[in-house]
Amino acid sequence: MSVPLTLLGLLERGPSHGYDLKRDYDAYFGQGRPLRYSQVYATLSRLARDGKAVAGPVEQEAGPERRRYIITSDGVADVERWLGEPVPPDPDLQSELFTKVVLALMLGKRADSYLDTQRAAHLQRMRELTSFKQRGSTLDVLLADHALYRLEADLRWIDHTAARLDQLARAVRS
Amino acid sequence: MISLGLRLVVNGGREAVTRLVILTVAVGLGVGLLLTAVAATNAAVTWNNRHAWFWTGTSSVVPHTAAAGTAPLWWHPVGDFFDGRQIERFDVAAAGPSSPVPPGLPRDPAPGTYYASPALAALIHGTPASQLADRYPGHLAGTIGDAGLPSPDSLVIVVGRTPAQLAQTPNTVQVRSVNDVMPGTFVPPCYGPHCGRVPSPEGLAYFPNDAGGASSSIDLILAVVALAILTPVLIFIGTATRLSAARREERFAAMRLAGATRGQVSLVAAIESTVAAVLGTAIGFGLFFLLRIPVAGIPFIGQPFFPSELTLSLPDILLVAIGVPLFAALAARMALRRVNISPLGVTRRARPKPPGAWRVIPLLAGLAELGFWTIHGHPASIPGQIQAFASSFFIILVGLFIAGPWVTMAAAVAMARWTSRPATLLAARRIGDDPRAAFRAVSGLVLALFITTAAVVAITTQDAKETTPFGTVAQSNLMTDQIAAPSPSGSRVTAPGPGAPAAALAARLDAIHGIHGVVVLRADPTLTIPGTFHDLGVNTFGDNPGGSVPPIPADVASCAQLATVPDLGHCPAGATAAAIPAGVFGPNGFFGSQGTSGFTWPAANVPAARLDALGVDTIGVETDGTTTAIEQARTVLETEPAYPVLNAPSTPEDNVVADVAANNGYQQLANVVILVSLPIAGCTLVAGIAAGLADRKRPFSMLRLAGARLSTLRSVVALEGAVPLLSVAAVAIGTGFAGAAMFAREAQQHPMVAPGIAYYLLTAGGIVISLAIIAATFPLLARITGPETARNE
Amino acid sequence: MTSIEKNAVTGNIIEARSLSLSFGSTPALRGASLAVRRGEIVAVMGPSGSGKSTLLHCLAGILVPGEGEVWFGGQRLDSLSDDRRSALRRMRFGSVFQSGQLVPELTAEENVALPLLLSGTRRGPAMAAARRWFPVLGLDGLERRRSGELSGGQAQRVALARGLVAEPEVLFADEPTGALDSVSGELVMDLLTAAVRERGTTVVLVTHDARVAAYADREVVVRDGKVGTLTGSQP
Repeated sequence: MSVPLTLLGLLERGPSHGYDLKRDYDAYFGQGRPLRYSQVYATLSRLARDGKAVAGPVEQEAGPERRRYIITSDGVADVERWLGEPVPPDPDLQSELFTKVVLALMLGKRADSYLDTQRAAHLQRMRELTSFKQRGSTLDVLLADHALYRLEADLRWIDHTAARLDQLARAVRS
Repeated sequence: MISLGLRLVVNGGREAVTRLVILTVAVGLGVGLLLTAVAATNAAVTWNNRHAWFWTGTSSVVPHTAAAGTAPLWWHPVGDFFDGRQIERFDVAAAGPSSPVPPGLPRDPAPGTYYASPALAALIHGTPASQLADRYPGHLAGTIGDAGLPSPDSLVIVVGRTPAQLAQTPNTVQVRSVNDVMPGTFVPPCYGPHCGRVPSPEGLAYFPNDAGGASSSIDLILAVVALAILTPVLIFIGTATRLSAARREERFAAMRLAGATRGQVSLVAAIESTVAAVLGTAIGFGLFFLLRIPVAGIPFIGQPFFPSELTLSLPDILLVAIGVPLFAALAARMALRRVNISPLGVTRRARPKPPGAWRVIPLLAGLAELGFWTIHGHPASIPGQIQAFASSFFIILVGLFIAGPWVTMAAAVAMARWTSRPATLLAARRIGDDPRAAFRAVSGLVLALFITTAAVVAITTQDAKETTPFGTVAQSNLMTDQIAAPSPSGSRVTAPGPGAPAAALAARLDAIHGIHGVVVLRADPTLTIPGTFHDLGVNTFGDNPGGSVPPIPADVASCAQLATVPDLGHCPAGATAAAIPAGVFGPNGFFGSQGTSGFTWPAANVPAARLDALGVDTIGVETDGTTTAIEQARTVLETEPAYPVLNAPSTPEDNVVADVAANNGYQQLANVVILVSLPIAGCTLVAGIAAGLADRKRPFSMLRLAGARLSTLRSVVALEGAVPLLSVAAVAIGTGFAGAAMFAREAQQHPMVAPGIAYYLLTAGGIVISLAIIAATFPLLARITGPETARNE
Repeated sequence: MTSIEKNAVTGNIIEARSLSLSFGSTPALRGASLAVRRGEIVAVMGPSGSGKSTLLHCLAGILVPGEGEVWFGGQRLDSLSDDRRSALRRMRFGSVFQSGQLVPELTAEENVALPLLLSGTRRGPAMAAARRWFPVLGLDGLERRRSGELSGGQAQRVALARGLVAEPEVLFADEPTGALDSVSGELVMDLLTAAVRERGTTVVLVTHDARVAAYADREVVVRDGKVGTLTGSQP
């Protein structure tokens, strides 16, 4: 999840203060983990240094530095390019699951009950997401669906694996 | 609930409306046929009962006690022939105005007048008098009404005489009532102490020519015919209803899921079927009334009916009008039994168990019983015989129905094992999966084919038995007139006619154009000839198989006359008279089966002069076979005053006609049953096939998409229909032949005679029609397995 | 305490105890037990052929188990006659299945009203009760359509309306979204859960789809004819 590019994309909407950018980031993309101000300003400075944005004049008001930032054409191009690239399929998401299963098999432990426990956890998470959807806004729903589908994909891999545990066990122990 | 059911019927869309129409038409056809069969049965009973008065005064019926003061009616029945047709003639003389009057007549005919049936009156009018009208003294006083005639074609005449005339005529009785009940069984005329008891020993030992049928056998035969037509019709209606109900099982499953009880679903199902059945029944009644008059003309029993006799009694109407819709409703209810069990619909249907091989046991048992009677001999008494054979045939029939599913399945299994064609395999598996349903469609055929095959074979065997094979054409043209009254023992005349008038009579006969010769057999009580006669090729005359052969009584014939009729045998050289066995000629003799043309009779030691004085036993007239000659000779013989008519002079041809007329009638009936039931069975098959097609729309469409040709699918459908049809037909026909063969050997004492070409044509034709009906579903197949059915909705 | 009171205390509205059932020689359930509390939504999951639909059919009184007992509201359900069980299905249970539930000859509103009509409710009140559901489920204007003229999603919502029209105590759902695309399926599940939460209806929901099961309060798993949970607690 690239914070600089996200901030840059938010900036493309129009000249904004760092404060506004942080507020919008937290609202749309924060998911309960707000950005630190320092991280925001540091990111913005770096973007300006790289020529993706320019800082406007400092506006004299009470409080911390309030500068408006404006996106450059380089910055626009960067956002364009980033949007156009597919998200690399993340191979690492299953790796912990996979590692645990293989280890369990190697050690002769109950891999199937571990998978059940994982299933239960996934389903509990899916329940939470589903009721969240029923209360949330459209964007919340979109995000929750994304998570739900990935959890479902996990579950399907779990089902698939569970059906082949014996085969796996033999391969692993040999 | 009912309104819900009606709404389901009305709103069903095109498919449901089509179903409704088809079912209605099916019921309409079936009911129409049924009503015709019932009406024909009623007409047949009426037709039969109209023969009752022919039996007046005979020993076969018990006369009513008449009202006090009823004057007697002198009654002299005699059969007659004209041009191969039978005429019933009754000479009557009323003793007083209160004498009984035969039905159809306004009053008893006065002496010198006669009442004739319209057909006979037309014949009398249109034929030269010397051939017909001269037989009947007097003039036509009027025609006999329908009430006295079995059929519009009947030839009946009631001649008025004086009591004095009839008092002197042999074979005459006085009656005080006209008979109105047919005899239960026909007891053949029997002479001598060994005869069984007859209902009226003092009555005449007379059989009318046109005797109708013994009421008990008529009832049995009509019941069997009605059953043979009713069964395929009911099966057809039942199948159509059942299939139409089953098509909706998914809807009913949905209702059950929503919480409908079995009763509620049955009610809804019954409503559609009942609506169709009520409509169809109304159509069937309409059909019947439209077709009544043309149908009456069809000679089901060898004679046409009066249209007014093709009636339905009120119980008949009520039974059909209420019974058929009820039957359809029940059929629909039965059809839904399996869905009623599970509201989950078709997915949970378990395969029915295959029929077991034990099913052939009843059939084999019935055949074995028949075989037992064949080998061990049948019971002596007639009721015992009827019981034995009827029970065997009944068990065989039931056995056929029970064995049917197994036979179908066995055929399917054999087909599956021995084929490499996919179509055959598909068809065989499907039949094998539900052989009961496949058999049900053709089970109506079973009854029809078995009964008609057995009946036709029995009839042709009976015909062969009774038909006298004629040695020569000349013998078939020989007319014999029995003058003398038969004796109780049957072989010796007791009352020969006067001798003198015979010469003049013979001269008159010779004068007729077309008469080749005349022989007068005269009675000589002292004359006998040996029982064995080497020229004849058989060892004995009469009924003495094996054992001693006593000499038998003989008549005398003049050799001069015998020379004019060479087919009756020859005199020894130089003899003037020959001795010929008494009873050789005439309806009770065995003349026809032996033939006598090559024989040389022994000489009789009777001088020529004395011949003319001897009493007359029989007169034989050799004709040229033309109608004019025969009928003129007959008229001359019948009008000879010296020799009153006992039985009409007849040629062997006439006697055969009389004997086989009844059999022909039954043969007609059998043909009608085949003609009617085979197409119905075909229609039933089609209903089953159409429903099966609708079931398999999707798999068949998939097959087509996967590259199966339409002709392959057609083959599947054709085989599914043809295999049960043909295998069941083969078993039914084979069993019919087997049963008939055993029956022929045992009960008829005659080797089985194969039926005539008509039977084969009809059966083959019926099967072809059924197969053609199956083929008629092929266009439907093309339409419903188009690719649009295979879409995933 | 009587069973009724016990159930009132424990809050179990419907309960299966050691059900066993075989189709021919194939066993579908082998001692399956499940207790459903009043007002909850239970997801019954498991691989295909595991017997979850069979369990549902037994709970709903559609099938009678060979062994074991089904209790509803304090009385034995499996020993009732077919007519009594049909009556229950009409008035106290509702059902939504994957397909094949609507009678094609009837209009949508008649289909919805069917349980009421079958129970003898007069046409007027029955149709009025049915029509109330149409706006709730987004089916305005479709009252007079035949079921063959509805899309899959619309037909399932009609089926849902039928399942709820009699204000049942328990709603049995078997793969209610199985034949639907994801958007229609989500709509159906959203409407279903909204309606039952509002009325406190208990739901037994059979599904193999985890996203559908996520609408439930808890899940149980049927494996080889027996009921268990993923965490090893009591089903």
